[in-house]
Amino acid sequence: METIFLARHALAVSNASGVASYAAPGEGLTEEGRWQARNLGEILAREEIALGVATELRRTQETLEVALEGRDVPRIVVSDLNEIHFGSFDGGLLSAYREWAGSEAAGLPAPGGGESRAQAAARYAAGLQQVLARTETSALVIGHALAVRYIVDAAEGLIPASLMLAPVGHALPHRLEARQLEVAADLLESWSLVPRFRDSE
Amino acid sequence: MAAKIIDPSRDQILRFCAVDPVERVFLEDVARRGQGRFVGLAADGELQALCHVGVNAVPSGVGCGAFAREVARVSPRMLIGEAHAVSELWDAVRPRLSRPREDRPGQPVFVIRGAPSEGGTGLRAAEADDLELLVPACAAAHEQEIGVDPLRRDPEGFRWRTRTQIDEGRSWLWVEDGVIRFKVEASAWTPSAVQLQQVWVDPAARRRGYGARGLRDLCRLLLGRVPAVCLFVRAENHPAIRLYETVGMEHVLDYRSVLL
Repeated sequence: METIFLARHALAVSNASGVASYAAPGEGLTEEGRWQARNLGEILAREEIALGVATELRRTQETLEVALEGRDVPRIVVSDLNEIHFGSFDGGLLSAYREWAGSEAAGLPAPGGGESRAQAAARYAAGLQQVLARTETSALVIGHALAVRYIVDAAEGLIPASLMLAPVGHALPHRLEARQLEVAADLLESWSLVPRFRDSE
Repeated sequence: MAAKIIDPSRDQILRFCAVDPVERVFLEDVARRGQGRFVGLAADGELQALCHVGVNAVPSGVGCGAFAREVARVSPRMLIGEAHAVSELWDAVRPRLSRPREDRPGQPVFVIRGAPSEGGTGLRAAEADDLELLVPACAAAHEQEIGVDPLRRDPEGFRWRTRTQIDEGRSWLWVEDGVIRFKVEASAWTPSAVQLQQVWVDPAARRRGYGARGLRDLCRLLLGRVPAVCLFVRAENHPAIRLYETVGMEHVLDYRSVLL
């Protein structure tokens, strides 16, 4: 792998209603989301894409399908890039999870069998490793907001913040080279063992 | 009862690590933090092998070839750990991974359990103000051990790592006239052992015995808190090996690293 285009999925029904949605398959895209996914395909029309990567969530797979429509590109699912497990917040308002997350430590799992941000970061590192190990030279990876924020920041040497300080737009690609992805995977895994947010140090 | 692959509990991991707390110091440290992704091979509820599955795969115990599927799925960039465990895993997973960039067998692990004589140094725990002095030294030591300059590869991330080591009380140094006469970090720390990494003396201060004196004082300090201090080294790093032997450290086992 040499280059990936990493993007958050397009607007899904759960986003439109502000619901935290971890469990697969989850809901699909809205009409606006389908437009965003087509737009993503147009942005990447001149780019070589040799592999499509989605998570187990329908909203990522639909985004990938629409963005790569008309291209003969193999697709895989990397479950390690799935949405963070919201625990008992799953199915409720995302704002409630964010309120909890904004005041709790990175290593604390979400109540009700959910994940901590540290556990999610370690999982994202593993997911990145799986993409990096592929023999294809380029990929479009459709993931979720937290994963995209953590990976893009880590590629620049930034450890996670307690809340996403900058929003992650739907279906907007981030171009990352393999070297940056290796850095991101290393940093996320290291951080997951000593998980303190950069804005709480 | 046949052994089977399991998602091990913290208690199972700690019982397994207690069997060889020096060899398994990294695995125990990660488990005690409540973090990390582990897979175990268990019979009758007890682990006979364990593997941390991440960017690096760290196997230990007997039968590590059983972890081939889990390790191949994550495609780690390095297998590292006790030599036999790594060899078992590598033999089983090799067909599913890329050709290795480098294979480092026979990396000696040294341990010391009895306090050596005093070094009479100014060794102290690093503080936040030491960061600027330590970052280039840590980077040079890292490049010496790993072969990659972290300040070219990931400068911000490496600064974070160095600062975190200081914050966690896992970094020590001896400085005189702005020259690092000795510095070292702990890469793992459990109630049973501390594992050291990145032993370093500034080039301007080498060949004067500062490294041995600094390491003696650090071992004395740490052995007041834990029963064993250990580290591993590249087999071809003869000056470092001589240093560890001079201090009284004993070669007790070998690690192997397969870089992918």
